[in-house]
Amino acid sequence: MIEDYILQMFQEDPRRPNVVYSIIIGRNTVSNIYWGMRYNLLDYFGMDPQFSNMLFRENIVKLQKNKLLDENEVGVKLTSLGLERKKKLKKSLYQVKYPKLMNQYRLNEWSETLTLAIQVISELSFTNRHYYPIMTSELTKFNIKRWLSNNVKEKLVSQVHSELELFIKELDTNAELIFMNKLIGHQLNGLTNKQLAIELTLSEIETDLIYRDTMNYFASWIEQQEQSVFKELVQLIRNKGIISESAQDTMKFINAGLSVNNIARKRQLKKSTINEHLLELAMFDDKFPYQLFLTSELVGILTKIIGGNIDQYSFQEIQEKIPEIDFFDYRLYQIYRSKNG
Amino acid sequence: MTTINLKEKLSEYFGFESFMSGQEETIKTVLSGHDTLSVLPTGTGKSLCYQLAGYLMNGTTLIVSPLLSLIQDQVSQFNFRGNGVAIGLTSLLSYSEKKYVLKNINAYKFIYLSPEMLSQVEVTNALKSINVSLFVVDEAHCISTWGPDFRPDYLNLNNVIAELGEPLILALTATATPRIQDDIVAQLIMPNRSFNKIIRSVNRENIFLSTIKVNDEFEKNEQLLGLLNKLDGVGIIYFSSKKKANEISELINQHTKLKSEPYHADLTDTARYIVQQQFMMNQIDVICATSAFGMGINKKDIRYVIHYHMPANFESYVQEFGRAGRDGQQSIAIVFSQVNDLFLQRRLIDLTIPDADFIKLYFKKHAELVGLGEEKGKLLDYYYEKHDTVDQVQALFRQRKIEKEIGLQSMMAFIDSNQCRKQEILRHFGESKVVQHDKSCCSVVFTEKTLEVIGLEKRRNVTDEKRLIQSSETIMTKLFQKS
Repeated sequence: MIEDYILQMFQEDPRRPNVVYSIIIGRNTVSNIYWGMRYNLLDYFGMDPQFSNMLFRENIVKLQKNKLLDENEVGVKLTSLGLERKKKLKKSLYQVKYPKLMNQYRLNEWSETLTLAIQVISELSFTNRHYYPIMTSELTKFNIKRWLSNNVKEKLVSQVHSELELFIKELDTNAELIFMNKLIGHQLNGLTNKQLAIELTLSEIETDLIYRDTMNYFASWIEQQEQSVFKELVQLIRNKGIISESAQDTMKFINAGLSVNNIARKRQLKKSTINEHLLELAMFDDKFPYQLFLTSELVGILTKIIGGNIDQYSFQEIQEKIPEIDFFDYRLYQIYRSKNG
Repeated sequence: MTTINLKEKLSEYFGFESFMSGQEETIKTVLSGHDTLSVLPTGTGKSLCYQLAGYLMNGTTLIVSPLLSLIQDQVSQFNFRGNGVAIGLTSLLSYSEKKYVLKNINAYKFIYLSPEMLSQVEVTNALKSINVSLFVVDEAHCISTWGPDFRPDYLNLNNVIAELGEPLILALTATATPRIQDDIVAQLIMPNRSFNKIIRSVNRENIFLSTIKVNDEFEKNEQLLGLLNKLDGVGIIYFSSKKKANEISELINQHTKLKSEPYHADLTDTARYIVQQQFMMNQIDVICATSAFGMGINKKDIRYVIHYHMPANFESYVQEFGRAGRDGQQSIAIVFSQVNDLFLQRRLIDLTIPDADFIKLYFKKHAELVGLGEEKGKLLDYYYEKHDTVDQVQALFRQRKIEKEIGLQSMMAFIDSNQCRKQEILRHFGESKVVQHDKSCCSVVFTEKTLEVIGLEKRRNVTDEKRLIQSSETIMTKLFQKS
């Protein structure tokens, strides 16, 4: 079943499997993000940081054996059989409902935090102090302790109870069953993904995706509530945004009118680092000021050479045609074209 | 400290009324200030020895333990008692968590460590700043190069103990031949000090031992499913591979009415927790576990332990079947033996012990290969970082391979022998005791009649309830008690 999801990440144009894998686990480099954008997979960036490379590789080989994927020197692509299968899967396989939320929260931490929070509150309601808390990181334990002391214990039980009740009204049947049956508490041991998958006759990966989707949705639902007892916890597991803090700082200097060289000097960073920031910003910030870095003359020349397919030339090939161009200009142009056609 | 006092403390701290064999003696010798080696069979509560002693002593108790999962389980036992004074100082802590723990090191009464942590200067420096009164070496047989579970990090313990101002030492293990016992003492002993030894027999009278010989895996699976349908109570099946554990667990779920779950290192922390709790609450009949993975939760009424693959050595065999019958009730342990067992076990040795060529290559191209060598690579990283030479490391692993092969051979000899199983085990561990063999002791070949004779034929199904709860309302009432 995992192979079906992996298959969905490929297309008729070859894609580099390394890059696809880096997108799934969210390896945060400018190059990965660029290709994530080119492959239209950015919504899935970092969807499973723990996903094993070996498993990924094994499944690629399996898909190739089954003639669904094909590999050439550029990368891996769908065969016509694979394309057909992908179309069918789109209807039959669970599709992520909230891809935009996939990299907003640190999901494993969130899952561990929420499960422990509910367990602690459950035992609190039964005034039981002798129980095995679920195994979590020390940080999560610490966060829950602080959360408890920041709230009025007497009120927590009813607050948590009524908020859960309110939230599950938003869910469809499978999401509700999975979300609720994974909870652990005083008279409840919870179920593993595998057990849930068997009971619901789903695959394990579908069960897991529904759970991830639901947990992400829960986090964003909490953030949208005017008041929520979980708000403090969601704050702790929220990613600070895809754009790195350092790149955001660079943007502030750009907005203040400084040149790349000046920013590099002022921040004591290499010029290439500042350029990486700019590429990162261009990819995620729709208001990026391309005109400050790309002359209309260069855009004209490049468009003339490249034409419709902006991935067809490697940087080396372009450099042969325009010797004075540097990689930053070329990549920024590619981003510009990706966004503006 | 008199007996009555200790019993009172036992009840106060643990809620138990009486000690199990060897516990009280161990605690007494420790409290009277003697370095102690206790060899107590699995299931006799070794951890209680240092925990109670630790509570009764001033200062901090350090416990070195080789398995991460065991450390996690032990720490959660402390949490269970509502006494959050224990911490696991392991590679599972993030950088900032570790920093936090080291900074607040004096807040903990019990500190569990993996041995490699003790080779980190920041850790030993933090430990030097507190008063370590008791230094516990859990699974102490890992210190012996003669033993099958040798852990090179354990060789460093002696230096650490000296660095920490020579605190009192308590070494604990469930299985150690006299030769390994001597080795443990020799490795740990401080100048001008001596060790008290408390040794209890590895014999477990309430566990019937037997073997089932099969020709191939198909026959093995048939026999296993048949056996499971006839056995009463809940049990554990041990495997040499995670993949096989998954596969057979699936087979059991499909072909019997029993509920089975795999249990090994591939499970997430939460899944492990859930499976353990379900097993404790009798919601699972049979756990398919790998031998490399410790199971810390102490379930007393496990009626059977089955070895799907022949154990790699006596030590693991005895430890693993020892999980049965901790309540003292009649239980059974069965080993499946198949013609290609030796082949499989040798392959496992080859998979885990790097050969000379691999070592040479790995050291030469360390920068390129680091992180790619899986288990073997991780092992070699340790020596690489210690600046050992290729020759040294090659010699070390050659020796390891020989020791493993010896363990394997003696296990094979045991399976093939037609002597009393228990007597053979005692002989291996150098015990002179004579076993009173009777019909509830053991049999060389398993017959179904045995179950009747020892009263373990199936009487009732343990689990029946449906697991998925359809109604969220029901879940809410199980979760929250309305005030």
